[in-house]
Amino acid sequence: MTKRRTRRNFLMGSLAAGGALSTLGGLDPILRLAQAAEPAAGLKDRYYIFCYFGGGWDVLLSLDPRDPNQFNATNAETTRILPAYDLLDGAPDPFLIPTDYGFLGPYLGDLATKHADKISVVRGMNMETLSHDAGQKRFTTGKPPSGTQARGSSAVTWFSSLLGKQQIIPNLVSNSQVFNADQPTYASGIKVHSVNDLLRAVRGQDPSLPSFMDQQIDVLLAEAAQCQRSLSSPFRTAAELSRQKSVAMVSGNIDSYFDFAADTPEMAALRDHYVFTKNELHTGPARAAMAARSIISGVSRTASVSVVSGGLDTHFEDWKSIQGPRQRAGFDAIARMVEDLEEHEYKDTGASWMDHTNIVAYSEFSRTPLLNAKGGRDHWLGNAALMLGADIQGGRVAGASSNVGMQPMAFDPSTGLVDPAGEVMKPEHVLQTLFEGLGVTNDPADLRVSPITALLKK
Amino acid sequence: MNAIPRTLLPIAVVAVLLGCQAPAVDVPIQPHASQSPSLGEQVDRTRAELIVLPSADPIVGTLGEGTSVELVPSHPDAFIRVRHRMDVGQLSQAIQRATGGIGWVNSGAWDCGPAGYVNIPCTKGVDQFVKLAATLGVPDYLLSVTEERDAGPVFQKFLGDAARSACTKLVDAEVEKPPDERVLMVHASPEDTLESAPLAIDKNLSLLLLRYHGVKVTGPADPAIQRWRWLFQTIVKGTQQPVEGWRAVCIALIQHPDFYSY
Repeated sequence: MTKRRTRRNFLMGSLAAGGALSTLGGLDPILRLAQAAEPAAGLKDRYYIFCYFGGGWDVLLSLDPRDPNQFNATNAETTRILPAYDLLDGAPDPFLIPTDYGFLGPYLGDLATKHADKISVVRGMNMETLSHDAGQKRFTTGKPPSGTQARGSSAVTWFSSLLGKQQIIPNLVSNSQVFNADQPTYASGIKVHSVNDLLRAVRGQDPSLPSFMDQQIDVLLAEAAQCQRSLSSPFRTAAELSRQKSVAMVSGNIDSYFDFAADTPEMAALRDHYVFTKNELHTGPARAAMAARSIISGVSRTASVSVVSGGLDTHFEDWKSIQGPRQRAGFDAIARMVEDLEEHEYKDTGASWMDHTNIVAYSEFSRTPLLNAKGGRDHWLGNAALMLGADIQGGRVAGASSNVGMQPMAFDPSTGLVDPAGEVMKPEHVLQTLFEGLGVTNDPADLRVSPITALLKK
Repeated sequence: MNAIPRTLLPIAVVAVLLGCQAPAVDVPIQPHASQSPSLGEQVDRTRAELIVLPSADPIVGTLGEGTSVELVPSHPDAFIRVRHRMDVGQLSQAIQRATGGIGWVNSGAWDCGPAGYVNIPCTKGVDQFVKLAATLGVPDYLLSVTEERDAGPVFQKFLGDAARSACTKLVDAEVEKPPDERVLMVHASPEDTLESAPLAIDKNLSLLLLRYHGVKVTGPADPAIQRWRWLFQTIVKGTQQPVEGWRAVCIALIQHPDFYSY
């Protein structure tokens, strides 16, 4: 009963607040902006949300589970896989959730129980690193980093470059890594740690000055940036562009979209829907709400957020107690995001924002299929990912990990099935699939792999 | 207040026309209009486009007795050093140093920041650089190990907040202090204007440029001081309060890349 009431309140509150804002003209600047942000010819009008599960998730609990009747302590020496579901604190029984396309783990939460037909799972992915930092760079750019330096721009930066020139914050980032190696400055990620920090970044200067003083300071700094010494310095030029961008962010009057602690019916419904309090604006659910709101409001073209509160780097006994619940909280936040996007109409078209948004859930790597001596799991090269949204055919699985040691297995991107003569799944396959769905087929990001067409809508 | 910007209109036109030369201070003042670099016109430049390559011809050297070979190119642009933004710890300390210990701090108890954020000094009150450390790119040494040091829009916004906070407190404090204890209005009193004490104003601006930017002003005609004199004068004319001129100068000095990059 509580859930039903909460959801109704959320929807009614959103409608009421949206109507009120529209009447007052509060949404006008952003809506006009969103309307104006038409994609280039040949490209679909798409938005992207990348959801990061920091620390390395255990895919045995969610995206790539194993039947404990077939994989257990009696044969672990042979299979090199020990799900050990019976050791988890409060593990559900039975553990596995059956779907039309195989089993899912219970810690996928509401995505498995309510939205299983919308999601697709990518399995058997080779991350080629066991480093947290390198793994993030590896996934977001589709390229192995050079040392600690990312090689190439992140996919969201590409999408922002291709589609987001008109957005106030084309590429919003919170608690995840995004890189711009070769794209225009406007496509660079604008990074904030929490909703509160975003609010501070888009609100007026604090303390404020008389507008006359602000203008004169602005004149001086803008003029100084026109000196030959400044123009010949990429750093100075980029800094001045960023300063002007910061002024544009403030003058965009977008703070009301992200004032999640406000005592308004809309924000109360939002907090209720995503399940966070006014004091939890730094948590995964709040960041998920921030991502969805940045898309729905037209402020952003892409949003990359960590949806996990705390980390998943469970090398010790904490694997039993926090790995599963934290994953579930993250996936539930994505489920709330999906519902939020579905409930909001896209630019008076009759379609929803979900019909124009792709969501990817990823982690830098997975965890070892065997428990270590301390009852936890260490870093594992193999990985999985989740995709859903506008271009993704739900209810599909592409690739597979082996039944011995969960090794990545070669697969056929056109069918998603295991094929010894196929390609080894890597993060760039996921990114290339998004490019293909957008209508970009000439591989501008130099990913050098095939898209997983088996997951794309026809 | 609306009348003030209109009276300032011609001076900004002159400012733009003069490029790096600051306008003469006796020219009427205007708000910057459309002459400032347009973000829309510039944001789509790629980084590669922004790099100005030296135009000097390659130096051809030959080996052999009696042949002289230049060891360095003669074109000075070849030696433009890549600038770097201060990290957050350096910036916090630099603002504290420049403002006589005020920094960007909210009132409150001593605060040393969360564990893991190193190189940021303990301060009395809540150091906002510590509070915003994660957003400003300070690594947590768990999932990230290198500090992001781009001067992006969020950094610029918070730098502006920091400058406004620190400089406002500094000016308010200095009005009450004797001259030998001031760090902002060192050679000029809070009542001095360019009309009443031009040498004192210039001397003070020169000191601030050296203190904040490491720029040594050679004299009143030095172009380096002109735009700062212009800012001071326009604010004083607009507000009739010399201390507001110093507040604006302090803020602009901190927001200028010469302060936060090296």
